[in-house]
Amino acid sequence: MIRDAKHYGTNTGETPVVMYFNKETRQIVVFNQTSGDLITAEKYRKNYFKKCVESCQIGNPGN
Amino acid sequence: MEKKYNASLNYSKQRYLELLKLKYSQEKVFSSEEESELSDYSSVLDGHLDWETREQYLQLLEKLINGKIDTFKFCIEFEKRNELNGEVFDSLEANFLLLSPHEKSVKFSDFIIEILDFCYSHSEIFESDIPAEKFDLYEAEFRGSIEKIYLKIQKFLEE
Repeated sequence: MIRDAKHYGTNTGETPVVMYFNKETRQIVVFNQTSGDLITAEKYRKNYFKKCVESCQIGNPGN
Repeated sequence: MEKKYNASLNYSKQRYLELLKLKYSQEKVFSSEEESELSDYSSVLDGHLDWETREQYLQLLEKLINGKIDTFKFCIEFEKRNELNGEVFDSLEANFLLLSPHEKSVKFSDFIIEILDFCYSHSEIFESDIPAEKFDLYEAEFRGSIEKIYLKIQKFLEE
């Protein structure tokens, strides 16, 4: 599945991203929406995966 | 004796087991309601594993706050602890071994998610060429944020 999302980095701040995710494997792949660069590709824990998919956010927005 | 989940959370091991067995047998396609129900049960089990390993998480937090480890080591160790719980979770579900969650496990797991968010955001500074001054500032901010969460956890555990 694909979703528009936001990635938050301590140094880079907020980045609009495209998030691909697989509920069965709990993998998330994130690409920069503008440049198309790969930002992260990880398998996450159940609850963290759920939080990312539901909020469409990876990382801490407070940074 | 530890307090277990209360009935208001509608946690039924029997129902959880039934859904898991259906999923693994692949005898039927889940409806979206069943999928959501299983996902909720899985979340509770996942959160309980964080609760069961809270001492390890707390030790790591204390090491960071007391300056015994740097933020790089903290993030690596914290994520590793978290991944190990993920492996246990997968193994428990695959073997239909379900636990009775503690009533504080969901909230405790939320704190772990909050810390992971900070770790995932912070980890990019280890891969970038950041000036020393800025790096130190980020380090201090990270420690401060984690310390605030640690204090919230302590308060929560004392309630």
